[in-house]
Amino acid sequence: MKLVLAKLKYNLPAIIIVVGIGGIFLYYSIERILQHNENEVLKLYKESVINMLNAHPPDEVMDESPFAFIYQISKQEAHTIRETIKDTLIYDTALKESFLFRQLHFSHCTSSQCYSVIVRKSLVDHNQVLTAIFTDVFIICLVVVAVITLLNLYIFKRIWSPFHKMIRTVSEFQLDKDKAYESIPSSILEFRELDKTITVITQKLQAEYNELKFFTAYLTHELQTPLAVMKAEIDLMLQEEKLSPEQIKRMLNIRHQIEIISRFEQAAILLKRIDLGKFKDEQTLNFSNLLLDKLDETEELIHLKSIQLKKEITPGVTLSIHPELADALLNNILSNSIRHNIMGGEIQIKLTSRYLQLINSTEKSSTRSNPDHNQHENESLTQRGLGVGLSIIAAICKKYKFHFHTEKKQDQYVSIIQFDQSLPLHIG
Amino acid sequence: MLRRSLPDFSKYLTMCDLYLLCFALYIWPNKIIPMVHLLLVEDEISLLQVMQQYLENEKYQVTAADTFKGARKEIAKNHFDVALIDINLPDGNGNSLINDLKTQDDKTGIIIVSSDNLTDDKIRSLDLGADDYLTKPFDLQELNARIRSVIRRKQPEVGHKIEADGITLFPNNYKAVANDKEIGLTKKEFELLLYLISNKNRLVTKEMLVLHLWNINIDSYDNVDFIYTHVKNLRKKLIAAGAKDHIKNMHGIGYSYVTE
Repeated sequence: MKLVLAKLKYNLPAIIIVVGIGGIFLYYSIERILQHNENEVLKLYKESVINMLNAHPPDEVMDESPFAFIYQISKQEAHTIRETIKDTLIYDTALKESFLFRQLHFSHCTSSQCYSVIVRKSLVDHNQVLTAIFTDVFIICLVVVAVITLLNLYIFKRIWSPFHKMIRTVSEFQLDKDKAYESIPSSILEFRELDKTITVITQKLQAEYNELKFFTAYLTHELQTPLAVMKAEIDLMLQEEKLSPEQIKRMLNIRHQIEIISRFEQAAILLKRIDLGKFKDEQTLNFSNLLLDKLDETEELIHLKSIQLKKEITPGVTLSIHPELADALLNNILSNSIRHNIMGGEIQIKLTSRYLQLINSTEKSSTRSNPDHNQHENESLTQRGLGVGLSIIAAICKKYKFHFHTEKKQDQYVSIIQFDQSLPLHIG
Repeated sequence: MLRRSLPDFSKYLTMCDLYLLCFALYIWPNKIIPMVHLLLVEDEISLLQVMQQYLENEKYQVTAADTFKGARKEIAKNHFDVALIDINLPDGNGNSLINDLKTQDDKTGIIIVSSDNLTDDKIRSLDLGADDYLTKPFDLQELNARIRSVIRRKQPEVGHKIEADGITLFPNNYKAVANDKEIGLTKKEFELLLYLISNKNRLVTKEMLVLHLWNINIDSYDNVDFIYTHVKNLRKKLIAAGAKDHIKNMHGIGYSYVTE
């Protein structure tokens, strides 16, 4: 929701409520004042009537209607009448309409006669005033709402524009573009402070990113080159004729360890590059064909272990993914399935538009028929390989929001990459 | 007195002349492969020295440079058949040398060497005109095979066939002939034979063969007996075709195409 609308969402009801409550309060206050005034007027009328009754003999009582009605009553009746003020409707026969009056009913006894007196005052003005007040308050409320809305939509928009520019600039900011965040000038203190903070943070992030990028490239070069020297020297030494088979084996072992270090370093750098967002370019690839090609490449290794391959590959499954990462994903998941499989084992591959599933038989530690003193070293090497391979798969899946799941079921190892996380995971 | 005491060499001289003539006309062009002039550009001195030694052992004429400027000077001075260029030089990018080489001679084969395995970098170098791309650390035998492959592609008149001890290989169509008869090799068997011949008299381990033929990195504890099957089949076919089997199993570690 936009800031303006969010503000209006709270501002407008608040204004309406405050103005409404204010209006109600004003209404009742003025009504009370008006009532009080009317009561005072009635009392004045009462005094006037009493003075008139006291001053004139009963035969000369003046007709004070319409605001006063005077009746002669007995003393006993006079005692029963209490002074009351109430509102009453009086029908005007001439206008054929009822009007609201406030009346004061009291009794008064002079030396010779008692009277019942009703004095009245019309409330038409009273109602007109209240109606006017109510209407005015309502109109003011509407005007305030309209003005606040216009101010927020148009005038405040200009005040907030540096903030919106900052949002746009920050959202366009990318570390790998090596383009600094452009400061947005503003006369508002808070926006200037925010801009300053964003500038500091982005500069720091950019510097750290560049440092990491440089370090990654530097590490690759500085590690792989000495490894290349070692490997080349061993290759030259291997050509010496005077080496014994044992010496050759040892040198090959050293060579092999060099290859392991190199592959681990490359895997670590790949992971770091995925983290750094290096593989931005995506292409829509035919994943089914890539998988089939990869299976062709590894056919020899699969046959070598007499692994039975069962494949259920839906043709034409496409994914939007960087080609290098697609290759790394398939390389690692397949090589893990082959490497950690048993002789005569099985690999079931299923590819649909929703997921890629591999189920492979795993090594049973109790059935090794040829214990080798290097067995423990074998396992540590393969475990390391499994860890790095799975890390790469997990990193790629995280980047593309695939769901990656592995599960060990008795003598089977299940790996699933689900392309659409919104659908429930299916293992089968 | 000196003249009288000297033996009469005239007949020997005449026979030598005759021999040299025969050698020049018939034998020399078919037996001696012209020396490949190779430019090696690598800033890491120890690696440069090892590679130079290896390549000279393989009978390449090697000119080495350890800087971008040094490489540029050599390119301006000499003609090269193949150039091996490290992309990360201290005073310049190796990719920039590609253009210099192409300007000098379009037939120069260029192999870029890098410690990075990024596809983007490979594509960039290949787009600029490189013929191949190798990632460190690499097998020297693989390097040798790549150099020979590049030479064959860039100089088809040289590389259209390879003759080795009675076997003629035609890399362009994966054909192998012995005693004027074609040896029915599969593509993998052909590539295997070519790799061994390219590295003749050198030990080629099973892991190197697997990496070259299938581009698969394997642990040495993995069973690579499938390569043994390929080699066995190849040797059977060579013997059946009447060719001499020069492929020797070296201590169960690898193989060598032995001709010496």
